[in-house]
Amino acid sequence: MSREKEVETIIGSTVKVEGDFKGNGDVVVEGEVSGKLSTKGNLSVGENAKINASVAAANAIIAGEVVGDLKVKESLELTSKARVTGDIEVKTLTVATGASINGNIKMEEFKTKEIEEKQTEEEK
Amino acid sequence: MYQYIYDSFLSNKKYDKELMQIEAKLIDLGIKGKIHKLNVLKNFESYIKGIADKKTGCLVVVGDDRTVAKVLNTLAEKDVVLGIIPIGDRNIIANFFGIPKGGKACETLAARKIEEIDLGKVSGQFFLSSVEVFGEGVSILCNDKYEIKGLPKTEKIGIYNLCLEGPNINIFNPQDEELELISFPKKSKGIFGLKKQNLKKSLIKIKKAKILSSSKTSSVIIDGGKIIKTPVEVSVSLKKLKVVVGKGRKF
Repeated sequence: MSREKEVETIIGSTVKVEGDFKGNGDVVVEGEVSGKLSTKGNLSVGENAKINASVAAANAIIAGEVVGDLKVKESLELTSKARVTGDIEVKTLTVATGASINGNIKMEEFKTKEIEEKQTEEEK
Repeated sequence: MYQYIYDSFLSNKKYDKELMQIEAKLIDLGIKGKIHKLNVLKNFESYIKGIADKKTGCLVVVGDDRTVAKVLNTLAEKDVVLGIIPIGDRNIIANFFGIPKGGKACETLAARKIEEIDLGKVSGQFFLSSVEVFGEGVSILCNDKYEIKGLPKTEKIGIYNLCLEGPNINIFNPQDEELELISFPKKSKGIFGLKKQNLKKSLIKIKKAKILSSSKTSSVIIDGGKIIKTPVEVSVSLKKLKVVVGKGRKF
């Protein structure tokens, strides 16, 4: 019997994870995490979630609280209730009105170069 | 070669007719074998070990879930295929493996479709389905890397190899060499019928875990029956269980 979809990891609202947590697929956090959190898949952080850890993921949507550095390979979306205290490294960033970021944001180099080149072309 | 183990409760006369029909069907299908009838006086484990040592190809348990649970630990250590002919009230394990009741179970046995499934190991003994621990304050060290702590709203945390029944049956894969850790939140009651909190379960795949004692809980329940004291180590066993399965199996 085949399984239609790989089951994602869920850290529910009634548990706390402490230590070096590594996931392979998609990870949903609704509870508390402290230490390190990384996944090769997508990360979703719920409104009531509290993360006190360095975070790494392929893509991420954050609606809760993150205290720690965020490294996202592709796209990061911060919803209106997201609170991030830490540095962010990402390729594409979407920030909703109301979200708060306290830290540095580093976007991928070629992206900024492309934007600069476009801007100089427009100025000419 | 087939050998059959009859559980002691089958000595009750109400099962005579059903057993006669099964035995006739086994003869028809050409898979008749030696019958071993258990009774309370026999040392169960050594008896099963003795049967399993005698170059038994397929050891068929005739009974219910408790009968299967009894032979599981011994069979897991031997290179023997487990067959089941379900009789009695509680046959969730047979149902999970797609084995119907009565004569059709004999047909499934004769078809001999064999699957290998994972077994869990907890403090030196095997388990088929689950290790569960109740109460908040539970602490579980997973894969030697991180610790999962049950917050006050945790009802129970279970480590599962497979789920025998219920709506979550498809979450578990007993052939993936992993265990699933699930935390269940307490059912919240809305105040004066107002908003109820919808707390989400946790689902984490693990290879091994150590369930530590807490002030509120000091024991775990294995496969819904046996109770042992914490701390306990839980892992996926390297040994696999070979089982004869039917078309309607749930994995």
